[in-house]
Amino acid sequence: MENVIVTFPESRMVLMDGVESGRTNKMMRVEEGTHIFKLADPKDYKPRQITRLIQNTTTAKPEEVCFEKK
Amino acid sequence: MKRNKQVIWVVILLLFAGCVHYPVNPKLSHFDAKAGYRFDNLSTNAVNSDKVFIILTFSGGGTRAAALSYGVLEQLSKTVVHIDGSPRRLIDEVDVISSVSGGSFTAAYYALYGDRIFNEFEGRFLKKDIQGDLKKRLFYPTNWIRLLSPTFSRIDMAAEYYDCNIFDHHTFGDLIKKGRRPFVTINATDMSLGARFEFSQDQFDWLYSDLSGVSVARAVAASSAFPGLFCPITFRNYSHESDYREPGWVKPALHDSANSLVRYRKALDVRSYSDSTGRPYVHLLDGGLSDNIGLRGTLRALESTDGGWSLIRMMNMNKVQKIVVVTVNAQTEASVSWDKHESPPWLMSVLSVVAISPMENYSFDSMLMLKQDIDRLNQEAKTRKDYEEIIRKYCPAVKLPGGDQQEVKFYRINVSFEGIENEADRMYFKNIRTSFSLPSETVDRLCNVGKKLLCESAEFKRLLHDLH
Repeated sequence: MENVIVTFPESRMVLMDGVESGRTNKMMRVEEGTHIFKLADPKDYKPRQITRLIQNTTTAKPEEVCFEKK
Repeated sequence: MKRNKQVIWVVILLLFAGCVHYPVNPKLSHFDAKAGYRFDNLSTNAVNSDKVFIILTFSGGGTRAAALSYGVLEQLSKTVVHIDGSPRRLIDEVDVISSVSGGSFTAAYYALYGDRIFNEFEGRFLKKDIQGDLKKRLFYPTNWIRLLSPTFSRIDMAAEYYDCNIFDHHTFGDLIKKGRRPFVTINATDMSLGARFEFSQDQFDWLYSDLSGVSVARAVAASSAFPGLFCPITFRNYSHESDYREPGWVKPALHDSANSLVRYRKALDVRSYSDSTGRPYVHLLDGGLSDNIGLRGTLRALESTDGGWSLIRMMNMNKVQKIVVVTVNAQTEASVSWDKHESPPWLMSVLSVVAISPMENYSFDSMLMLKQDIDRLNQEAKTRKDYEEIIRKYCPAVKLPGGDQQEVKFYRINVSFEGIENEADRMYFKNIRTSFSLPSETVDRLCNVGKKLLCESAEFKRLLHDLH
């Protein structure tokens, strides 16, 4: 099991591989492997999507996936 | 002249046989990733909340397995707990039932009829000579002709029988209309992939087929089509129309051959269905071949966010507080005597070991994986808490990233004959043959031992304690 935090200035639903899988700025448990991250609408964020291989994380040092406000 | 007449009759019979066909699963009229028999479409309600998330898994083992799981359901219906201050029957909190073979009869009946199971199921299935009825059908002359057809076999005949006599022609469309949990996943085995095949719209999307038009009986027949006794059951795999959308995880997972093998293999399995020219048909066998305790789907839900339902996803959303997994395993251990003799065992004995041992080993591995998955999640939560405590003590101004996490408690309840203390009783149950025809007294004993084993489980007692 891997740990990810998707950061964004607001609380927003995180879509991982096209499915609602958690919220921004909160710890998310994910399966090891390659995942595509997006945020729920409105599309006021960039980049449009982030593809990242998630592995070797811990609960103390999760992978950070960063989105910014457009 | 007489010979000509005979030839004409043979031709008529063959033509008639040629017309007999298994009921074909319908093609999707259009693709809709949100429609159909999916976990998300069976909503929670005032009675069933996500806070206490209960998963039941029913193993294979013919009527023995069906009766044991029925006993567990009956006990859950009599158990009242308190959730948010309100009394609730534990059975109403069941969210998912994953079943295989014999256990699929109980699971499907409960999904269709709810509490009616407690008045009807004994008479309609458990105490009925299903095996005898199926054999009798082989002696109907019309069935001799039908079985000549290359597209109609004994498993299709069995499915017809279940459809008329047990499941009243209900389809998965009827289960969607009920719109309530539990979400029942009936598991079979894809013969080409050797992989678990579950009867959910998520899986049928890959065949571009509409599960709502498939009879529940046909799914149960597929789940219990033990090789040798029955032929595989066939489903059409339609070519994908332009509106088809592959699950979002498949494409990235195909990059994971080096680091996430299970996910990579699952993605390859999904892609295999998209080749409808090379694979216009899918042949399904007994679910026990890929998972005889119906636990693999739950394990995926604990490890991954990829499937139609995911415990990890629900934990990420802070939806669940307690996760309860009840495995009802009717695995036997028949007494053998071949080690008493110098001469090697007969071929039949060898073949039975070849057929059964890998399934039992796989079931053992599944139970072990469940324990490891839960231990790992508990350990990770504890580690996080320990870090938070240390930081609070030494650097109170600092906070760990990711915010507070809701604590999730796990309960792993195993109902199996291994739990019977009295050796004579244990051996009695472990030697009950796999059959769809058991004496009434044996069925009663199985139902009672299912209830007793559940009540005596230390984990079940812990759950009841925490819910009072």
